[in-house]
Amino acid sequence: MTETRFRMLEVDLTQGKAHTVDVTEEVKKHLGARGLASKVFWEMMPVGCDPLGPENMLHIGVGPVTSLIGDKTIFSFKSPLFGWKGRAAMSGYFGREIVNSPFNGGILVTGKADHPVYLYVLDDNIEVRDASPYWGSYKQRSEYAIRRDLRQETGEEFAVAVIGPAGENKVRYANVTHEWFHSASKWGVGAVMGSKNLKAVAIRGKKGPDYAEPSKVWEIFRHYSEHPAVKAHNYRERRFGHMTSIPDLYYAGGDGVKNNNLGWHEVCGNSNAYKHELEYYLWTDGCPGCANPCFVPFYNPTPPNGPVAGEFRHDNTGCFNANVLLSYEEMTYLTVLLDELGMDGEEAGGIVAWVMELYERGLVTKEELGGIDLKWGSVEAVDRLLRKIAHRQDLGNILADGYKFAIPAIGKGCEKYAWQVHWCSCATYDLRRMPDHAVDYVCSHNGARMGTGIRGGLAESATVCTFTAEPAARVWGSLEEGIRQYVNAVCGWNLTLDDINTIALRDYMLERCYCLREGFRPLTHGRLPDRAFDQPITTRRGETFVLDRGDFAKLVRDYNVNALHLTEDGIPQKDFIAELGLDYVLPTLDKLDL
Amino acid sequence: MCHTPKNRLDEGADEVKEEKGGWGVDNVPYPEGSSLVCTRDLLCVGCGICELACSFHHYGLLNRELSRIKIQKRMTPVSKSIQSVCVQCGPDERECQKACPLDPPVIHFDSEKKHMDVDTERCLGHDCGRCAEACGGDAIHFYPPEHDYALVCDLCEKAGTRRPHCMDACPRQALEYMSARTYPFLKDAQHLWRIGADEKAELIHKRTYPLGWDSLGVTDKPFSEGSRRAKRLD
Repeated sequence: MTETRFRMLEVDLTQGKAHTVDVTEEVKKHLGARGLASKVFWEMMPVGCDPLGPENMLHIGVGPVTSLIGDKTIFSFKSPLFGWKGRAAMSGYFGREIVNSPFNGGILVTGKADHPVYLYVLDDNIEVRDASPYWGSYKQRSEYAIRRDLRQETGEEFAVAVIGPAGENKVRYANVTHEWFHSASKWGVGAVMGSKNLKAVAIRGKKGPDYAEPSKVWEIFRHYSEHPAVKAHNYRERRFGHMTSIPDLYYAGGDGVKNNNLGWHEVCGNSNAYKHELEYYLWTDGCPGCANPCFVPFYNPTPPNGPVAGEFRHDNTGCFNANVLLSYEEMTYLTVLLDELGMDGEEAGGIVAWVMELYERGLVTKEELGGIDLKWGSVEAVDRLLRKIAHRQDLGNILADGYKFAIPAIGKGCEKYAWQVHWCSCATYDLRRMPDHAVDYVCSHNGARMGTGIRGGLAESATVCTFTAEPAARVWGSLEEGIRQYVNAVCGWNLTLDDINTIALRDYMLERCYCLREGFRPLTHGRLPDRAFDQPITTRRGETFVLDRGDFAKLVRDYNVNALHLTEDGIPQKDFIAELGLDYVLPTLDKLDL
Repeated sequence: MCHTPKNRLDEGADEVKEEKGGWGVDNVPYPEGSSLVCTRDLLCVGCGICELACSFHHYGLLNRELSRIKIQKRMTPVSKSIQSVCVQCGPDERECQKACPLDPPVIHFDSEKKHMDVDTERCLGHDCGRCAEACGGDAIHFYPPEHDYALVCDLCEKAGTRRPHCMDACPRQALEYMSARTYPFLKDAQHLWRIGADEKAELIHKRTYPLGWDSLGVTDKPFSEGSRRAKRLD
């Protein structure tokens, strides 16, 4: 048995050159993907660099467990949306192709090309190619054209992650997609690619993965994928896809309704996963290595919204839907538009709902909107506004920069109506109903998102799909134990559970320190909107939910100390990070005003 | 119980065995005689576990490039996984065998084992590749340089026992056994399953008519201005 070596491909777009770096020692300390990116960024990225400038870096990360417990590719970068480390996770086939290529430590993209390019990786053959023919076209067409051309040239079916018009125009919440419905949507990864003139990354790995003990890996794989707990798990999503959680949350009062003003509206009843299945179900699709597929595309052939084909997720649909007083039928059109433009649905949904409320209150006028009558429940108005945002026209130019820049630009007290934390929309959850999520969002240094804590970080360093991994505790006792077994079999190491826990803590602390270095301040930025404390919502059952400022502050302090091993104010403790082997960050931390 | 045909169609007549009760793939016996791994693309979710099972069974590795069953993704325009595996063609239809330039052919139907077999030592490899070109089902692959010979489904036959590992591993029942026993006209009808990945994608594409290959249905015109709703998109 030989120990697995990890190699990272480093591509400099400015020079048009690429070379390979052995990152095995870093992987031993940080596991890969998100953790590895933190280390690389801490060492290599200039302090305070412009997220949309050439100094920003894009790490397309995989880890030892990629495509074994689901498949995730983790994009890490400095976020143009809020200004410190952003990460976006993408499901689908992309990760498997990277792992099967010689670059099992991921791909690091630096610099900026002087014209539109795409990155071509076929095993050892790496090229930065001209992407002018594809620049400017919608996402599906771009991906199809690149894949078709590469297939004609090489005979191989590539995995191609592309940006759409929103990414090209540096909309600060643009996303990257491959296989059309597998998106890395969060925190402006598409804008970072757009700022580098990088239209797409095309990869095909034929070498095969490096596993120290393939028979052991296969044994663990079969044990998990055929375990009764896995078979019983996730039945709803296996059948209906991820969108089934939207109606569930409406009935519990946990999803956004009318820009998170309400706990229930009659339009919520129109979003029915079962009816959607009966009307438009096409087939079920999944990711490599997952026996519980949760992608359920639809095809709506009927006017006025069809013919369109798309896929509902909680993230790309729940954010609009009842939040702008629409339902699944209209979303069959709008979700597809979002996908084609290449924008994060949650961010776009939150912003559109916010502007609708501003329009209703007279803080934004029809003239500013370029003539759009932005009324609640108008598909046409949402359609036109999304196009204006993607192409940066009229008020869309301001909205394309996200809450951070749009709030001061619009002024007039508009921030009162923005449902955001860290300048990130939280449209898909009503935080009054879900205080656990609210704590997660507020304590996060990684945008307003669930699963940003220590375990979530570990999952994204190992690149595990947290949906697929939900039954892990019943199979292995804990997800950490499953990751440990896999990592040892894949890498030929002999890690203990303590080692895995230490890696998880180290990754978390290093990432937090990096964010602090780049300007993140937990007390200033981790704040819920006032509406969460001042304006109760009432669910369909008549239950009322609102948060209490004092209670919530206590929850946050407890979570910081007990779950995240931070001070009450969310700052890493110096002794603790030194114990984790991160002494090298201390001199920088000392200089910060925390 | 299924009738067992004993006629010219049944080159490898099965013996009928007593079955245990109940439905489900577990109650279908492993194929004997002339048989094939039959694909159900619309049930396939593209997890690729069958590819890993195949590769592991034959080589002890988890490299999907070594798999004899292939799962490819195509945009139709909705992305769809497409399965390709050898259908163990009938006597007149073995285009791969006819295309082999060597005599006797490297890739051939083993009349004792009742499935395709490859004489790996003599194979000219991907530089020749005529069998793969001749196959209408995209079922033959090469993996140079380590395994530069025709990789084709052998129904996982080892020491006279068959146990197709892809079927065992498939979590969606998207692979089925088909034998003369379960399908009496098998010998004349195998070519019905021999459809190339491109053609399958074309057929599945029709399900989303009138969408084009590269369009999900949204044009550069806003919702109200599109006259597209009644027309086919290009």
